[in-house]
Amino acid sequence: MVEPELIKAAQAGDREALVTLLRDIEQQVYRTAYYLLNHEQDALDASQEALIRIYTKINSYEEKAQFRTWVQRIVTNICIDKFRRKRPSVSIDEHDLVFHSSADVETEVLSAYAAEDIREAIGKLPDHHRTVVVLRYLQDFSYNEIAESLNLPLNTVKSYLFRARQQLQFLLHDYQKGGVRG
Amino acid sequence: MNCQEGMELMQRYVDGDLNEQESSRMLSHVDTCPDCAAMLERLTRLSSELAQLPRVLPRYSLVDAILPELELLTPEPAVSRPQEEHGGTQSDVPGPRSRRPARNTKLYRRLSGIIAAGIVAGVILTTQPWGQLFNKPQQEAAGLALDTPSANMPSAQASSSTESLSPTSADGIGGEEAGTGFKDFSQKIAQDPSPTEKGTATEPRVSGGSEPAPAQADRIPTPRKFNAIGPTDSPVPAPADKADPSATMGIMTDPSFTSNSGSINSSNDQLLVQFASPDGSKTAYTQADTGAVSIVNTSDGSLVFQSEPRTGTITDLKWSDDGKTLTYTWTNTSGQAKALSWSAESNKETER
Repeated sequence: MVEPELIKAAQAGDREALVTLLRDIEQQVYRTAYYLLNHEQDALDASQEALIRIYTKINSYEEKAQFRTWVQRIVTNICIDKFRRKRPSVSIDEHDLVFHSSADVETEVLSAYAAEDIREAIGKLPDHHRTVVVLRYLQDFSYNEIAESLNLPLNTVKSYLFRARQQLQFLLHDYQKGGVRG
Repeated sequence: MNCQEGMELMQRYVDGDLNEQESSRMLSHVDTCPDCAAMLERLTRLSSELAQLPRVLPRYSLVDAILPELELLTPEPAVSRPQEEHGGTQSDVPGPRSRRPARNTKLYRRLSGIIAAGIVAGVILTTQPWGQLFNKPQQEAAGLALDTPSANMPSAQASSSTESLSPTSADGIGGEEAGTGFKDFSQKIAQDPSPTEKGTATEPRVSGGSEPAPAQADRIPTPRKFNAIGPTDSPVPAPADKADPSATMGIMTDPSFTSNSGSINSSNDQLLVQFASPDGSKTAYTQADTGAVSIVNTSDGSLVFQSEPRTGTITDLKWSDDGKTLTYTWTNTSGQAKALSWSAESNKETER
């Protein structure tokens, strides 16, 4: 959690404090970008863009919201924009699977998928579903924090998250079965 | 409870959003429903996998990477913005509460910071022993040169004397720029005409010498022709030498009087006098120990006219109101004086 004093100092014009603030949030910014964009270089670019925007817009942050939700809003917006003109996502079928299978496929609900499988699967979700999942699991945001960050109603957040998990299950479960994605 | 409702509860369950009562209801249902039991297990497993996704880190410091760009940027001041009703992607926190006071405060704070820096620098500079830079001949020339414009100046100016030194942009900025050369100084003045108070209340620079700082607010040219002056030549703000009120004339400082104002720069061994024409388009230069006059275009410092090199002194420099004629007196080393004038039309110097 970022020190409130640091934020105040940064907004008061203390440039050094502002840079320190950016260093404090650098990782959380990158992490979100990485999982949203599913591509390291894109994530590095988007993160830098986000940090610069946070720097220039620092004075538009108001205490009513949590600082981290404000930060995440900025990075998710940039990523979603970037995304729109982005590379096609890799089809699951083309991916090289790593099976941690057990003999009984039917009863094996989920094995420990390699993280990249999950990442790929997340990458196939629609923008908003993906964003909600990333904020929930990579940033440990609560429903409310997600709602604040994305400026969405609480019920919409839940709806996106639940739906995303169903889709992920389906995608990953399919993998497990070795089935061809329909 | 049906399975659909159960599903909803299970989802919330994995997010830790159920209270005790809801939890037990859900779990009872799951006990009785194998499909839901399977679903719960998948859901739980998935959620666990998601939670274990690696917390990736950037392979290099992003802030370090953007620092150069940040150097060039300044944070925008706070603005009020209307709140959007519907969701959607707003880049910043929706919050109509404006921070209007903060906005102005930041600007003023910054401005006062600049001024303060200038004041401090100015004070430091004026405590330097400038005295040794000046000797008698220079003082004479200075005195003469100053007297002349004062005679020509509107009376209001003379009376404004010491006060008018205050609102000079030059003082604070000049101080700030000290050591970076006259050229930079003049450019700085042109850019930032913020007045400073304190620069004028500085110590007497030179006893009896009182070289007023060239404080034409935005008329000071960049004298590229006179680089020989060198970086030590910074115009020190404010004469503040009470012993010689004429020297502290507001000619230096009041922007509206830059027309015939002269200014004196000192270099280590030369005294340069400059006068800008009323319209500011040209500036005349003389050097105290030569009888030569040069005229340059103020905007780019390009040379318009240069008289023959000769010895002696030039005094009584005066521009006509339309800036097309410059009159002056050349006194040669024998003491003979000639009244001369330069005309823009002919670009020649002739005797009056």
